[in-house]
Amino acid sequence: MKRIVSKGDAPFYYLKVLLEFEDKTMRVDVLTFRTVIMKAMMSMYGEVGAAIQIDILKYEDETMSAILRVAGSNMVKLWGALTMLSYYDEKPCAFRVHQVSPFLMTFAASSRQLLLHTE
Amino acid sequence: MARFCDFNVPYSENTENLRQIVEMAIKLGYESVAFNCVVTPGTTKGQGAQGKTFQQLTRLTAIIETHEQKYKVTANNPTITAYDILAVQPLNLKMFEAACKTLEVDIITLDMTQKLPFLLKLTPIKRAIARGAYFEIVYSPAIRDSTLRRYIISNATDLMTFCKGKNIILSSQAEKAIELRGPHDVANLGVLFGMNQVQAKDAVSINCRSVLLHAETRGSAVGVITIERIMKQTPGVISVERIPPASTDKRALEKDSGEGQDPPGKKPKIVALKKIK
Repeated sequence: MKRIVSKGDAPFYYLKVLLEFEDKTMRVDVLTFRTVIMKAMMSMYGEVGAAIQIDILKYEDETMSAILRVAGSNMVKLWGALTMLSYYDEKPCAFRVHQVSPFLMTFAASSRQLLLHTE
Repeated sequence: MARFCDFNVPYSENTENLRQIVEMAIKLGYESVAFNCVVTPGTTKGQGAQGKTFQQLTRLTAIIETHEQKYKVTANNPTITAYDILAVQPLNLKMFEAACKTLEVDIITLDMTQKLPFLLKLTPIKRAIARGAYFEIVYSPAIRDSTLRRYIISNATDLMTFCKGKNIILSSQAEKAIELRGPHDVANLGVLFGMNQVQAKDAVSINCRSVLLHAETRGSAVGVITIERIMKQTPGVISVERIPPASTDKRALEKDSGEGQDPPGKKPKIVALKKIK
């Protein structure tokens, strides 16, 4: 058995996000999805922010959900920019960040998406 | 872990919109919201319901500018005791200092969507923190518009230099459901405003709980004693009524409880007071 101790910031952070439009029938493809993220970063941090490397590892057209990868030092910036996004093409929308983790493995399960039965 | 709260959902007559906001709040993982009613002392009323698992509270925000308006914000005012949480929004430095130093309020909120009408000072803020009052930062205007965002970020970081991330609550003031953000997203925004991770998370959970507890002490003598009047209305049903607190002064409270000033079984009525100019 080898013990691994993590010190300081992880090299990468992974975010599981979902794009939600007020108009529920809206669907966007992966390229548009990328543009939405770039626009969000651009409006919040300008050119320097837009230059931050963000990778879309996986994208689902159906649910408009994606797994993003970003350098650990830029995680707060990206998350903040996603939170602040409110419009795309004059259409009200919002990013729902479901999970944030330094390890991709954790996305295998999520306790936050368990549906509670409320009467 | 403490439950997530959002203490600023603007109250409106549009119940369908309110319902959507509440549904979204539940979906995002909030466990408590407060409907906010903004008044210049004194006007109108608001209503909220008590849910089983999901807590719905009422909050009153009084905008104070003059001394007359300030004196309306006391624990004696039945309009105020009808609400769960009391917040004030001072419009000038004098009122800000009064809110921090003397007024019995739970939340001090500032309109951060514009340049603050006065410079913040360390002494009143320190005093407010010592007294257990909380400062509010609202985030929905920042989502709505980029100009407002600029002002909110600058004002919030400004406030943060004074209170160092302590005694802050983050709330939404969302007018539409789409403007609401999840508690963890909001906590991350707090990090952007200059708090550390722990403080930011507290700002949406533990601090809100503290506000509620502080609000409860407002209705008691020195935060230790409360008096409840037990009476029989109909056979078999016992109703408990909290006596409207007079002040933190014990003697005043004793005097109040001595005389039955309210007809029994009646809830504190919300009275529309005359508007002062």
